[in-house]
Amino acid sequence: MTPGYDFRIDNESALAAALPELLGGGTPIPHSTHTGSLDLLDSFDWRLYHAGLGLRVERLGGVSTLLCRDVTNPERTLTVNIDRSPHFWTELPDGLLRRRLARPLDIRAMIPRLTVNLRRSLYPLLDGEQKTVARLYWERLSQRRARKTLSLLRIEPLRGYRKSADALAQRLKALPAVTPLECPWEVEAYRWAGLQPGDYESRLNVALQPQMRSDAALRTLLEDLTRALELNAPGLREAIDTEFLHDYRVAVRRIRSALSQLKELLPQRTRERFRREFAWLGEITGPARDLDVYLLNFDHYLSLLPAPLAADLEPLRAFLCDRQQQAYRELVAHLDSARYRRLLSAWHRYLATPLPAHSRLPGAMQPIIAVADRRIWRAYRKVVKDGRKIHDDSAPQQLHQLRIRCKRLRYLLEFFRSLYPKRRIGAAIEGLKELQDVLGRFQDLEVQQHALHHFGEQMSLDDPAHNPTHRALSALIAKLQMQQHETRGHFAARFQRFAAAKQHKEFAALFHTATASDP
Amino acid sequence: MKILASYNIKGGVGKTATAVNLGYLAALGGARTLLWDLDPQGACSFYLRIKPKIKGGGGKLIAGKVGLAERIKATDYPNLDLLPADLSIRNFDLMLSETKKPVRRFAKLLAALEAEYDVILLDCPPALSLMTEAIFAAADAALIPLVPTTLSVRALAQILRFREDHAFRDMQLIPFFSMVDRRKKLHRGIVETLPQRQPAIPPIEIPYCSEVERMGIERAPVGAYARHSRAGLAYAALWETVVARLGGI
Repeated sequence: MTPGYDFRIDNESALAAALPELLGGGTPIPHSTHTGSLDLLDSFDWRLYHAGLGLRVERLGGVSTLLCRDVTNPERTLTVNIDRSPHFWTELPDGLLRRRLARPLDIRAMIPRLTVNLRRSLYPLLDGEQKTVARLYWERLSQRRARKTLSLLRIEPLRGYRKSADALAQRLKALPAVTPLECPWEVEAYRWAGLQPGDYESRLNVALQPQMRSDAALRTLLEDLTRALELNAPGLREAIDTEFLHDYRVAVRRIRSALSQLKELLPQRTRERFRREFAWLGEITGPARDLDVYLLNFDHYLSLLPAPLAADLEPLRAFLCDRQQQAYRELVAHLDSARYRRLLSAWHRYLATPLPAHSRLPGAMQPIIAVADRRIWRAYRKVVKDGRKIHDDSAPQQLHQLRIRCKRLRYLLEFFRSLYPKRRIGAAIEGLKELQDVLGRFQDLEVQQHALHHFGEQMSLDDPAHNPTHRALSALIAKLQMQQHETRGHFAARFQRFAAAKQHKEFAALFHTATASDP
Repeated sequence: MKILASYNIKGGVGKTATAVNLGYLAALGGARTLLWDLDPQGACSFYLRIKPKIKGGGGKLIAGKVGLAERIKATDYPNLDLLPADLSIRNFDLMLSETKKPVRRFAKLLAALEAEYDVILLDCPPALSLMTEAIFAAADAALIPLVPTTLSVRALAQILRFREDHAFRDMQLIPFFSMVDRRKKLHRGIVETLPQRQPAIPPIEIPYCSEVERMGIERAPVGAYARHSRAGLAYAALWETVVARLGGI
């Protein structure tokens, strides 16, 4: 929470009249008044907002400044002058600001979530030495197109002079011309512009009622997933960062999983058609995502090799970048295709069709809790059954199969999270996640070895002079193979933990209930 | 975090002006910067309009009873903070000698600010004492303003010997010409010949001029009121050299 230094100005002329007394007598002349623009930056999933940071670019008086404010401690605002707005924290010069942004942003881009015109006057509060002990900013934010303005008054406290800022805040609180903000001013600005910080998160968060009709619950779920898919599409097209495509693909997979695992709630023709079409979406988004993953992993690959070999691997990065751009171009062409448009409009038509008062589909009229119990319990038992069949010398294919089973179970748990006690379903998901981690890693390493080998072949087709790169690539593949072997060794213990009696009892208590019998 | 000391055994060579101006430039470049006014005269604090006083005195800071972070004051410039001077700091050597492992103690005090600052600039008093040892042990570089006179050249030799004797080879010495008056034959001569013997001296001269002297009237760094003056540009070039010698900030 902001410590009470931010105010909304309700009456500008009354404030202007009160300023002289507020600032300790005399006619207050602003130290400076500038007009320009202001961008509030955050990642698409509001990571900075969640981390309690306010990041902005100010373009005032010909100077562009990036400022990062800790909303709980505005004295520690970090600033750096910039030539252009950075996209990723890695573009910033080394220093505290870069380090402060690195962890919350990780691989996500900072994007201007709100751009406004800004007019700012600065009134410094001075002590007897004419030293600034607090800064008072009178700011007017405006959007020309929307023809609206927001006037804010903001105290910037300075380190070591907290008392002065607090005293000024107290005096302001007594003024009827201003109202203290109940949220950081960044949030106030977002809301004024019609934005809701935190309105998107990649975690699925659908609120269902246990007694809802199952087909209605499925509708709600599909609507939510469709929203996630469509929200990510523009960022994916512009390739702002890799997570748009990632989240888009997750939404597609979840929709596909819902269509196949909850098939009893859908008419067969609808189901078949959309399963086919969403499978196509999965297919066309695959190559670009794979290349994203190799490029995201690239520095890690380099770290696995001794320095001279690592340098030889660099041409692969250029090759992958080329391919990535090509893959994105092809993907965007697919998203521009008639087939994609047809799919989306048919899908929206389906989602908008009212549900029949009485459905003949098995399960559709049942409360969703019954369907959820039954489906989760069945998926869980399949995981345990398949997992038990895996021994130290089982084929990788079997682990891959188990991975798919786990994924299905995971999706069901996430779809229906809101129907169960929060902590218990959370623990069930965490337990499964541990098992999934080892299976996912094993499978990823398998796929990466094949893909890297394949890239190597393609590169030599393009230019056979890349021999050192081949050597580095072979060394990398050997390293990945070793890691895969090591990962395989962790499986038995992880699975045992997942299928342990205590965990089994908990799954049974949660999902194997009286309502879970087949219809 | 990089720790820099503006230091010379000799007084009146422009140490404080160096600390304030380079601190200002570091902050302007986006580095969170702390100036520590270690000179009980408090000139650095004066230039930045901050009272040369530490609540509770400097002893508690050195003894670690009060964290340095609690006594830091913001200056009028973004990214630039100051730990003010205090008269009690004149007993710094005594305070330090009362702690266990005094030389390492000082480095430890500064290390506690790692998460808050990119650069710490120490404005040191003219001395060659336990305090100097502690500063040299903690610093990445010492910036040595040299007025081109015979005594200054001698002082530089003393500093070099001190560094050798105490094995502070990890710390870079960056001597540079300060308060250069080209009208004086002696100044011109030393500026031309000394770098041949001391190649660490960069080809930068901070001129003896009214812009630097005005710092006391403006109570601000040169960059804040005369950025494009000869002195303003010379300090900018010096800061660039320091950053390059340190391999970045």
